[in-house]
Amino acid sequence: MRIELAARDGEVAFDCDEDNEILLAGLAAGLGLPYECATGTCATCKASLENGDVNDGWADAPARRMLKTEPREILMCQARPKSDCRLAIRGRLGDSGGYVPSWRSGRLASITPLNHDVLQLEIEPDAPMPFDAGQFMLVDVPDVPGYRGWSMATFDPAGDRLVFTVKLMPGGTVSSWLSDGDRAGTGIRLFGPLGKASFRPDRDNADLLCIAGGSGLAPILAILDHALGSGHLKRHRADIFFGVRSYEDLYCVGRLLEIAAAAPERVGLTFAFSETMPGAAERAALPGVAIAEGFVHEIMGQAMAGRFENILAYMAGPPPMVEAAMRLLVMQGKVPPARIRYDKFS
Amino acid sequence: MSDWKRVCATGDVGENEIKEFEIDGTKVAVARSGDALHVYPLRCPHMDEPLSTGICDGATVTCSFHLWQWNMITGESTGEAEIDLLIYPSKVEGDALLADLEQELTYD
Repeated sequence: MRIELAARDGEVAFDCDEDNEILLAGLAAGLGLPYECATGTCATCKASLENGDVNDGWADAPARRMLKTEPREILMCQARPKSDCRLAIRGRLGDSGGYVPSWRSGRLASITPLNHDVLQLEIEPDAPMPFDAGQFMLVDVPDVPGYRGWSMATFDPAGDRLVFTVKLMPGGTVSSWLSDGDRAGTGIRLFGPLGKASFRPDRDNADLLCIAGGSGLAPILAILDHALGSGHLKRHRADIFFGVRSYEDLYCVGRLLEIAAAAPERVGLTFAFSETMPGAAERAALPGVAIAEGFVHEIMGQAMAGRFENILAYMAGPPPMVEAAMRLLVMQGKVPPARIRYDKFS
Repeated sequence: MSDWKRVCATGDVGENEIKEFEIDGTKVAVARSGDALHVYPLRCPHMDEPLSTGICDGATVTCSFHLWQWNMITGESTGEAEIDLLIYPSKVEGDALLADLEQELTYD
């Protein structure tokens, strides 16, 4: 099918077959279509359907509440064409920038528990999938409807090996699938890389402020991995804030400690505990880490007061945390929006 | 022709606040800079997010969706925003904020 799309700054056309999501086909064609989550939660990819017909995809997509019915609006990340279509979006076509995403097959090489509810998954794609630190992939888990957006938790410039951290959700379809027997070796399809909250040391010549909550640590780890490996931390600071409820929710602490130890005078590492503060023995296992009680965005606001100038802020985690941190950066820090990076998953 | 309608009491919108009001079916967002109040169409010109969920610091209005920002007095884009913010004519009479809603402002 042929998709024509009118934007504020021009028109584009691309092909999309009936089994493909319109957004993914357009992105794979190298076009800078608007999106953030690519999984039906944020509505950034909404478009009005001026002509033609589509299969709407996921009926309960949370972003559907933000769509108008007259004229009919669709989520390009969910919709698959039933005919040639003509669409219109309100904004401009962005610069596609970076790597052009594509579908790849891969193999789930290993599954390793990191704590009581976070698993590390390693996927080997059958062809390299290079990505920028901070980006994510859509993962098509067998027998599970829809795709999941998972951020890479390490930086591998070759893209031969993709490491993800996945939080187990009680009753979640992916969690159930992962818990149901040994899944190592299973074939898994991936689409990516996606996401604009990326870090490129050649472009991003600034001190880093990294704010992660709960399961959102993965993209922050990849960014720090790359910042360390590229020598960025020889010239710039990184202030890292990781928020969890209690000590048992921490994961990848060893990696964070390694990064801090590699550039101790330029890396600040703070853990914020919102429910239970760690005991003496637990604190002893966190050498050099500032321990604070409260919500991570509030702790960050206090610790960073007066130091927001020229920082580049990355945030990932539960949507209410990301929203609160964003408000604090704008209101208190006066950080320009171009220096606040996150991918909206709500 | 003007059609001055009461939007709210001047005390309804405090410092650094941006709030939604509906007047005879027209939805607006009202924000304060110092002693002055400003009345905008409720929806962000980008993706229709209500500006009442946004951020106002007395100088700049920021939509919370994709962080488009405008000078809250002139409506001019101050950053990523591709479209300037429209502003309804408004005035204060007594303790009431009035806006001229004769013509609904839209971005289409």
